[in-house]
Amino acid sequence: MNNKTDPISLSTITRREFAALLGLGSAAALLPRAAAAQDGPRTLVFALPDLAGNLEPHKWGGFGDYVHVMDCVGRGLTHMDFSDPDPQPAIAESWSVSEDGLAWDFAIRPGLTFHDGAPIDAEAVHRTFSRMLPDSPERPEGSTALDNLGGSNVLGFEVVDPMTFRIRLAAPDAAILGRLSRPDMVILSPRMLDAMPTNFGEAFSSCGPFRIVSVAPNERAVLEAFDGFYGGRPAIERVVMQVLPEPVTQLTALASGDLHVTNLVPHSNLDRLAAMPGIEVATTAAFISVYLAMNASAGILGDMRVRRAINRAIDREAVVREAFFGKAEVPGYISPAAEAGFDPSHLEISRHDPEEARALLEEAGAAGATISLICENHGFWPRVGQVVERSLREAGLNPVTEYLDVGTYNGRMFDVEAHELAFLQRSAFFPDPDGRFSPLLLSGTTPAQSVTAHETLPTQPELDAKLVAANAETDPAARAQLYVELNTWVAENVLPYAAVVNTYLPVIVSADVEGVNVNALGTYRTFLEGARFVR
Amino acid sequence: MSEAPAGAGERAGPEPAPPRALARTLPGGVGGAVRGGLSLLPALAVLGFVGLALAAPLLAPHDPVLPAPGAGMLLPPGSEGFPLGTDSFGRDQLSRLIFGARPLVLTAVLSVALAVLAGGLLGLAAGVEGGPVGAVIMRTMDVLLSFPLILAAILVVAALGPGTLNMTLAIAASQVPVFARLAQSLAAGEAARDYVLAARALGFGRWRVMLSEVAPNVAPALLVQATSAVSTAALTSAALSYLGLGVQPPTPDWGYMVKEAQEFIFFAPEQAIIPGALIALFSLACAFAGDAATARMRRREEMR
Repeated sequence: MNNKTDPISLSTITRREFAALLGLGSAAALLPRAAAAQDGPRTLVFALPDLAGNLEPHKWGGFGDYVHVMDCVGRGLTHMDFSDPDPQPAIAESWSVSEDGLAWDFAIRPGLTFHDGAPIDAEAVHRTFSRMLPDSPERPEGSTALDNLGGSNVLGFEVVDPMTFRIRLAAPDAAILGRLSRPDMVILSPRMLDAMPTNFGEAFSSCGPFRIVSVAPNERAVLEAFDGFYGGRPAIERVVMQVLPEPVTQLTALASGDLHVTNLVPHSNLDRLAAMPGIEVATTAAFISVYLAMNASAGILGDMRVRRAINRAIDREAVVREAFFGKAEVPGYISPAAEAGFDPSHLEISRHDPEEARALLEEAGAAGATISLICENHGFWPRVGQVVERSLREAGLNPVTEYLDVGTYNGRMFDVEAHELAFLQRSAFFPDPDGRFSPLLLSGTTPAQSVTAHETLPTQPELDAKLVAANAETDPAARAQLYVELNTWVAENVLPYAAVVNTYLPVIVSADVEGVNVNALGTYRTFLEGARFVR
Repeated sequence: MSEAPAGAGERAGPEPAPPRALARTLPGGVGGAVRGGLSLLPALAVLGFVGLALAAPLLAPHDPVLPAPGAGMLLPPGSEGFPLGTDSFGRDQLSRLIFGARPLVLTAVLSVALAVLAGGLLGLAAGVEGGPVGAVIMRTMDVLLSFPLILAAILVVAALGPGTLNMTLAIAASQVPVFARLAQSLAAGEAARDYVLAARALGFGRWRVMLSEVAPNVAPALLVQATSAVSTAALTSAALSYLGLGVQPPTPDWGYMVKEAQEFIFFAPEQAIIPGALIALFSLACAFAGDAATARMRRREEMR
């Protein structure tokens, strides 16, 4: 038998044939997105940093797939599209609030179904919200959803009538509509909850514009347009959310047209990308804030003078220049310039003054003290960490920085005994000042207890009262003014955080695609229902 | 009886002439000197890297950690005052490359030295003692050896935490089984030889037999293996730093410099290519030096 006529047989394969097969195999492995794009309807490819794949919205694990996938496949009672400062109706078509501001009634949009065909009514909404409660047998272990809805301020949930759902509060919360638009507030199908109480994966069923086709953890999620979406079937038939954590891979995929939308590329590449044909670079408001959390229960950080010294020591101009290549801004304090609550006078809070920092450290007897700083070891974090470490050293401290993987980092940051200085990131999942203030500062929250431990300081009762009062204010101008004052008061009296920088995620969109909500993507939110191919 | 393989008859003809390499065409004495010189090149290169690491403070024109005053970010090579440009923080790239030799050379050499010591002792014990003690040691080494080197090192660093010291320990731990196996096989062979039996008959204790009789005869082979192992250790060190598990910034390290510069690969490729090339050169130099040492030891064995 002539071996050369034998179609690919491993027992007789030649080295040349093997090399050719290896080359073809490698090329095929490198082009999963291109292959995906050629299957059936045209596919939009979106880059993900990671994909845990359990798709349990109540176990908020940070950014990653929770934000991007959940925003595409889920939808809550309200929706924030970032073109309008006010939340818009979503699964709730309207709402009303009682005179005392303690009861919110939501009228459920009629005729809607979940992806699995189950009808959406007040009972279904009630079931989703009830599983947030501590005594619920359906509550996923480690659920953070209730904290994100208002924590102890939420008294309970009721079904008023088949299409009306009520949330009862202990104190008025003018930001409740914004909170309900968070990605972890999506409404879940009761049919799915019956079949699979948690960690849904491919079985995930909500009511967003796309539904899950398949999920391969740490690889990709495939979504398809949902006919029953309240806003109508999206123009894009199919979305592949592809895990592409490495910047070089993203940039190569963008250049080859295998990636259509991403908000993951490094800030350093923006100028080069802006000059490239076939893609568009969008820059948005700097809603993403980086803070340096100072653990008030750890050694010298209990001394307000040391916290002030650290705040004065940080060279924010250098952070903007060296860590973000100018694609960021020097912050005021907690509120970024793009959000209500900011005032230009806050820039004085974050003034860089190493001389004053040294004097404060001398006064506190902490000059030359060794202090631990922990930092994540991916993305822009090591660059921020290096500039801040250098700043602290220039001010006369002896910082010891540890760069940690995200899991170890979170474990250390949320353990009050395991860190002194740590970085914390907040994004505007909804652009209201209380979206930052309460989760960062209110008693009982994880940051107040475990990250900065400032709730043990004598100023905390007054801080809590100010936070509750500010959040109860519904008049926009009066509310903004209260948060302007709160920024200054917290900086002068508590200072558990030093603001480091405000930035945005650069959004890169293929010129083949229009209608991507870049304002949302710049702050981690991912709404692709308006996207469409134009060529 | 099996058939002769096809083409076997062709090999029955006269031996083909060996390749006429340059050294072989030279007169005997000169050729030997050239061959000797060529075989010394990798060792000289390794010594050059070691010298670079030791003399870094004398050679580096700028502070490797702080931005050079007045320097821009990502200056290209050939910029005034910065022959290799600056990095993305405005630090002198040449100074960082010079200082960056230190962690790689130090961790590679030190970790192999630790591995030779620990693995050598364990292997000696297993080889000379044999029996259940030897079996337990060697089966443990087999288990450790079943982990890929880099994975074993990552596991150790994950347990101990990142940093230069922990990385050195991790690489050493991952290399111990290699030396233990070599030492055990050599020591087992030596243990049956007359001089060892004589030493035992004279009443030498087990430690004395192991360290003063067997060890000197095992050591040369271990040292030759060690020169090759430095190459592997250097690559592991660079990989761990690239993964963020080794040397921590802002300390310069070639592995971390590649990681830090990869986002600039499309507009400042030299930022990643130069440290990457240096890692490759050091590793190759160590590997070739190891090969040369192995060849020299074989020649000596043949002459004995």
